[in-house]
Order: sequence, then C-alpha cells, then structure tokens
Amino acid sequence: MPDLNDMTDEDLMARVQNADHAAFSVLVHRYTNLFYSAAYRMCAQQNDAEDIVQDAFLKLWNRPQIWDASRGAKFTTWFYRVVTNQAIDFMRKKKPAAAADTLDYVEDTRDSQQDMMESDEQSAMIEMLIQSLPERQKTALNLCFYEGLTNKDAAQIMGVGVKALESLLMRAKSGLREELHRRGVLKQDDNGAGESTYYG
Amino acid sequence: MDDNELNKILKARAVPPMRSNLEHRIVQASLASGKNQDISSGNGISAIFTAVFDALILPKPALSMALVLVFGLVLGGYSAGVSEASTNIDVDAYFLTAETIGYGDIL
Repeated sequence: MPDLNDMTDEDLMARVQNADHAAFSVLVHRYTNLFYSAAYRMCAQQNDAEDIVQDAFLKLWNRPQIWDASRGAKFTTWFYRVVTNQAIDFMRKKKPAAAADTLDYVEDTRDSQQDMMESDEQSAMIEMLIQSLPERQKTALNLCFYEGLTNKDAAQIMGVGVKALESLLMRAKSGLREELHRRGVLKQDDNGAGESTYYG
Repeated sequence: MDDNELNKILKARAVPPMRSNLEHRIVQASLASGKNQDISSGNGISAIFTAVFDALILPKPALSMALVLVFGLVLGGYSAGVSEASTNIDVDAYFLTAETIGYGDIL
C-alpha cells in the first residue's frame, strides 16, 4: 500500500475520482493554506476566504470529474482557476455591500494619510488599494506577484493570452503607483518615468 | 526608479492566518456531503450530461444565451411554417372558390 503523502497531486486526483476520501484529505491538508491565501487576496475577508476555499474543495470532492488529467495541466494551476472563479462569483454576489465599504474606507484614509507610516497600517492601505482595482487587474496581480505563478500559467488560469495578462499587470501596477504617489507613500520620479513601463 | 520601492510596499501586504481547524472542517463537510459522484458508477443520463457540460466549461451566461438563441430559431422556424401554411390555405381557398363559381352564378 503506497503512502498517500508521497503521491503526486495528479495521482491523488485519480484516486479522488474513484471516491478515495483519504486521498482527498491529503490534498486538503497539502493545499488549504496556499489556496486560503489566494482566496484572501481576492476578497480580503478571513471568513469569506475560508468559505471560498471550503466550497472549492467540496466542489472538487462532489464532482471530481471536472478534473481532466489528459489536458496536462498541473493540479495547482487548475485548482487556482477553480478557487479564483469561486472567489469572483462570491464577490459578485456580495458586491453592493463590499463596494460601499471600499468607498467609505477610501474617504476615511485620505484624511488620515499622516498616520499611515506604521507597517500594519500601510499594509491595510495597500490591501484597500488593491481591492479597489478592477477585478481582472487584481486577479492578474495576485496570481503573478503574490502567488508567484508564471505569466503563462496565470494567463491560462484567467483564460486570456499572455500579452493581455501583461497588459493587465502593467495597468494594475501603474494604477497603484499613481495612487501611492498621490498619497505621498511613493516618491515621484524626477523624470516622470514609470507610468508606461512594464514592471512584470 | 521606484519599481523596487513599489515592490517592497506591495510585499508589505499581509494575509492573516487561517483558523487552525479549516482543513478538518473541509474534510468533515466532504464526509457530510456524501460520496462523490463517479461518472462510471453513474446516475445515468444526467451524469453524462453533467460531464459533457463540465468538459465544455461553458459559463452559465453563455449557455443561457445559446439556449435562448436555439429556442428563438426553433420558434422562428415554426412560426414561418405556420404563416406559410396559412397563406397557402387562403390562396387555395380563393382559387377553389373561383373555379367552382360559374360565370352564370354571378349573373
């Protein structure tokens, strides 16, 4: 009897497709933390991120045939797509309340800009700015910058071409840079460069 | 150039730790949800349709739009057939009447 913990993700998925709950449990313990972080970066709410990850894993357990090994994708790349779509669906359902919160937060923090020097506050401000990015720009930034995926994998997850992904990344960083300049967190370049440069 | 500085600031973004029992919660929830659906052991036709739709990975709005278009085409085709048929009946009836009425009947 092989040790499940030594198995590859793809082998475990083959077992999950045969209703092997132990294999499913190994995958859950192996990746819950990773995908919780990814979900949190999409929604910025601890409880929501946990629900998103749980729903994604339950979807995997209840309908394991959605995984198609013959396509040659890595399990993690594929599951990023499941979690990302789950998070986007989740946020769209919650959008009215979330949008209002974000706008209020933006107004409040503009007045307290001087107090943003502490690292935890700066972290909160970065979080707020990233959450206020357009959905696709935010997803691209999360996948490439925070999850460390290659542009090719991120493009595959988002269902766009690599060039389109690079454009989304560039616009996300450009928008953030501009906002951080405006708030005085980031010093303005003397030559004004940077707005149109790709920072992949 | 402020790219390094921007990256440093972006890296300050923190993720709070998840609750320690999340994995356990997921495993328990999966047990409670029952056995996963194995297509080979199947729920018959519905399982096959589910598998086909999963393989297509069609988003729900696109699927709905496609179904509406197909429905519209079927309805349009059916309506065209009906109106053509009714037109034919009217014309046939007209000629039938014209043929059966003799010149002397009118006079």
